[in-house]
Amino acid sequence: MLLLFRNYLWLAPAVLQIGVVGVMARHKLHRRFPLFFVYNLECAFAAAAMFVMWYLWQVPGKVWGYSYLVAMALDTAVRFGVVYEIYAHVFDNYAALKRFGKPIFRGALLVLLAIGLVAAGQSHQQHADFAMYALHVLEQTASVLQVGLLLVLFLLSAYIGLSLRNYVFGIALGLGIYASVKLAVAALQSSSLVSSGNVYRNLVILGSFHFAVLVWLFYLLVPEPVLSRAIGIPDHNLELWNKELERLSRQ
Amino acid sequence: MITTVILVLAALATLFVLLRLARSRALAVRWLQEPGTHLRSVDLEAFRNLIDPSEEQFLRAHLPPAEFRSIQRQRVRAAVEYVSAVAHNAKVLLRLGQAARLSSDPSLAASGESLVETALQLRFTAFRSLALLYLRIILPGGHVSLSGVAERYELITGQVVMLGLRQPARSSPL
Repeated sequence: MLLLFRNYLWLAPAVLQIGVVGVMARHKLHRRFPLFFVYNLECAFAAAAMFVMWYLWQVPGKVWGYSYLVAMALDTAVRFGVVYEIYAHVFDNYAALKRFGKPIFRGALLVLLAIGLVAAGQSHQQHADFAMYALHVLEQTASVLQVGLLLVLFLLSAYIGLSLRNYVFGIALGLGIYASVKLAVAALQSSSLVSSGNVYRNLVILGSFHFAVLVWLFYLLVPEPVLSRAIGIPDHNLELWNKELERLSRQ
Repeated sequence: MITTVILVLAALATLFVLLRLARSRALAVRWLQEPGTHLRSVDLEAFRNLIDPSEEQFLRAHLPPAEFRSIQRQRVRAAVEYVSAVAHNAKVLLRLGQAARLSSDPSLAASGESLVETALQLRFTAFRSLALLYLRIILPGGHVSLSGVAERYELITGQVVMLGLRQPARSSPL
């Protein structure tokens, strides 16, 4: 039963990601978010390929492990590109904020990289296999960076009062949820509280990714709120608005 | 072990913040239905009076130093209230402008665009002014120029009026 559930969590997100790709292509969003588009294609392809390698070809464990490492490294690199794409989209959308986008991204990246490296240095996990150790360090450091970058973006937008477009918010929310869960799991793993082969660990990570893909699909499909009716102006401001109207009519 | 605890707590806190933001986003749609009810009243004349340097000079010349400092602190606190209300209103109008600029009507979209830019500038000016005002509470002697807040607030008021005029179906008695 558990195996069936794991297989579902392994393949279902890949199928849903094909849906994400389809919706993006239909709304021409692949032009605005090319890396997110590529990320979905890459994840869907990688999940299908790994599944075939595991069940049909039954490749040796070492070959599978290295393939997983390559897929993970590629996935992490593209995900960074997606986070940068979100930053660029949010800041380039406002003339007053345009010049702040890159410095904020770089500044946050440097600070978070320092935190991530310190955290990686504290890892107590014992690995006979260097590749697996490298994978763990990469996962944890990347998660620290991605969670931090997305948190900075969300908090900054909320503080300034920027309302992100549905699809931007959805992409960032899905990535944030997935990266947070990965971070918590990687941290537990670094203290040897959870092993990399633990079936529940894998279920939690696969489940969070499934949820993230559902979030992306939901926000890509939900309509954008557009101002379609009159602005209600409170009575206590009427005098001010009227004065302003008089001033405008004199101009 | 401490690093693990910190990272797990940070991850859980992030999840909590993300889910709260998703919920508040759903509530923010209501702002668009009645944005006016979320605006705070700002008396620009009273605000101008509070930040007028000649008023300050008059008080300084006619009051004993201790009394002047006490009154000046109260005036600065009142100015903080005004600037906070302006910053809040700028946030409401920023959301309004963001929704308006998605309109299929080009003139409404253009009005929304300029409202967004002015609201952002007003919010930055208000943040800077608040920082200066808090500094002024600590060091009451110095002079702070806050003229940008009143001017930008006037500008944004005009833009909201223009946006209201471009609404297709109006219920407001403007």
